[in-house]
Amino acid sequence: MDKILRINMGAENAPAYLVEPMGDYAGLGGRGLTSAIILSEVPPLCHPLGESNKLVLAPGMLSGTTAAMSGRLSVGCKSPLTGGIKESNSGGQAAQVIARLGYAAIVLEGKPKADTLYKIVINSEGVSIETDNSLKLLGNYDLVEKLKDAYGDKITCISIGQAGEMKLSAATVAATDMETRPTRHAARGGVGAVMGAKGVKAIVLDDTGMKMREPADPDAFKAANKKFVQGLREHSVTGEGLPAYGTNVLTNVVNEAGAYPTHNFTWGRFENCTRISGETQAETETSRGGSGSATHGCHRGCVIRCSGTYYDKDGHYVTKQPEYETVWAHGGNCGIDDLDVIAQLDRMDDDFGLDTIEMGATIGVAMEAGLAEFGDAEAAIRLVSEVGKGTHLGRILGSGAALTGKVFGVERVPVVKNQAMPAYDPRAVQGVGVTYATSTMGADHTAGYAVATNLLSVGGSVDPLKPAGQVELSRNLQVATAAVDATGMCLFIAFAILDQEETFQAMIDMINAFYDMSLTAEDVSELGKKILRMERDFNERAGFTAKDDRLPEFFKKEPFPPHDVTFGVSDEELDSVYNF
Amino acid sequence: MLDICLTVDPARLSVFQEILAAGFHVPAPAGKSIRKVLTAHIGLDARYLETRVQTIFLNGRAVDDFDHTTIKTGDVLALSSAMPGLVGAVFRRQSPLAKMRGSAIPETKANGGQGSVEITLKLFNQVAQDIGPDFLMSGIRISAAYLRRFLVAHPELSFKGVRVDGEKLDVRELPEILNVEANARVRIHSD
Repeated sequence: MDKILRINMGAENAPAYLVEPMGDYAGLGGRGLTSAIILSEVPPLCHPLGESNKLVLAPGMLSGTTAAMSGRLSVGCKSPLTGGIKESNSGGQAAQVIARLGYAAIVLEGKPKADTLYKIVINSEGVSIETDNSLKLLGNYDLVEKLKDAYGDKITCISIGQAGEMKLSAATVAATDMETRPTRHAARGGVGAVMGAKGVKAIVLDDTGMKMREPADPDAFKAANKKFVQGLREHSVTGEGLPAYGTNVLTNVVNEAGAYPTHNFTWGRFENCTRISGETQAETETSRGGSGSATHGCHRGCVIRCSGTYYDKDGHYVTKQPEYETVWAHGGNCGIDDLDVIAQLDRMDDDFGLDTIEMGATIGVAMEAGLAEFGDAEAAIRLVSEVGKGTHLGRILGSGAALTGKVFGVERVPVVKNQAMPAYDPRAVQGVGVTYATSTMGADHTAGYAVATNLLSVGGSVDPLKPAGQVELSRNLQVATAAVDATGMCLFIAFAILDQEETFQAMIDMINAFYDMSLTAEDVSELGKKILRMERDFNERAGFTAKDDRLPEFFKKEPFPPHDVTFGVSDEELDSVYNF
Repeated sequence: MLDICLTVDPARLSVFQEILAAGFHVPAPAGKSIRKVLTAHIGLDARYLETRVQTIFLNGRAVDDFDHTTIKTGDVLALSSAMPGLVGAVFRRQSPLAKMRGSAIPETKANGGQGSVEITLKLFNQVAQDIGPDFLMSGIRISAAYLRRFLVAHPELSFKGVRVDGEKLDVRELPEILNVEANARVRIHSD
């Protein structure tokens, strides 16, 4: 994994590729690499769908190795949704396969001059770029089936659905899972629209004949990985809660806290939340049976296995187990309490290539605008169908909550930097509001997710008995998360890291044994800071100012039941997040 | 109050986690700490409470100090194991991230009161899985209307036996009967 594959889709006669050494980017991976390339090579004021933007696909530093949980793929570009820098990451097989093929990144550059659709095939033999207009406007599921017919079952696909081809701002980049289904998505910020603008419908990857990446010190690496896995298995969240119930286990708890945004962020409890909770979802999946029903990994090498497979009442595959954010977005946020409907909407989002958070929030705004009643499941399905069909209404909805709110004159639009908020109301969990407001990515719950504050000692150690302020905590979490995103590790490892110092050390030991380095916790935190500084720099040059680091006004004005709280963190405090 | 005994397939016992999460009524001594109520009165093992019950909400507010937080009638007490996600970590007892909750939602403390009161207890996730079956077998008191809605929402549930006030009953008659009374004591048996 010591080279970068650059594919110029706008080359003179036909798209052309070049393989080059890492150069100045040596030592970077995942989000660290995507953000470094975007900062160095993309003009911040360029049009996100223009030839100057680039789409960077980068596995993490440990992807393609035997390290557990190392399968995240970072996708970076200038975002058509936010107008700023974007790193959106995904599970699935793609990161492992790209890394084993030897690439630290695949960079799509330029723009085809004609309205032509391409597929790119990358295997141990090399790279081919082929015109294939027969793939036009296929959904991700049909597309992957067609590619499997052509290239066999062992491929891994990165693709866009209709939304990406239409260059909609909620469009995702899909990655196939262990069953070669397009269920994993780099979903946020419209990265699929950028892939669509490059004219690339699919990248077909085949690592047949390629080996696992070899560590510099195999024995030390193996020992560290073993300890790391042991730590994950022993921890109650990563070893029990997530495998049993998936991320949707949060529904009941967040609802109880009064932090579950319901009916487009109008109040904090959904009356029927137990019908769509993780417990109910797991019970439904288990009773219906089927392969990988309630506990399943999204890529090989996952030991947490927080995912699952959702089958309908007759045992037919519908989609992967919908995540907490998806169940909230299409469920409680829209007043819908039917898991089968939510699973159907998740399937449609995956097929069209749409961000489930953005779409759920958008349907919520549309319901507030009167396009449908809250709780009307059929209407929600119809509205998402409009996006797949590419009707005028569908193109508005597929461009996200902010645009939909503008078009239909809605004031309560839950976005920051035009990106829809996830499933935690910032009035009830104010520190999350700080992260939503100040993240370089727009409203993003994962931007400050890696709860490794004490161990990383970012900005000083935090005494558990004397909690730091929410600004300091948000800053520390954002730094830690950026560092974890660079490793290609799943963020869910963070829970074990928070509680078990030896598990955190095992992760650092793995990196050191692999690269023959001697990283310390301070070095890891410095990497996180470096990434945030790069992203902040890009955004400032793209025109972002302090006013973009704010929550919408209604969060300060509208008390949020049941606790009747408003967002109380001052602008001055928000502006101090990047003081490091 | 109706006394209802339902016999189900053991494999389907977990479907009743939905009822445990929605909450059921339990009597409790007023003015006692949450720890006292849960261990001395409800019978939770002290070590289990300390290690497994990582997240406690009282009336929707996260509780850090369950030795000095007391209960009063009408309180809603929810118990959960450690949760994933940043917000899951934020709501944990004694979380180093507790400050992220924001100062606007303070912890409830020292409600006081005397005698026996009634509270609503909610059990989530692994906690419901661990201790829920005992509650279900010994009987929980819930709203009859809620039980009716639950049964209507789960037409796939088949019961090996239904008894109301000791008398055998066809399950199809149950929704009608549940319209009459406000509350029901429900016991779930599995064999």
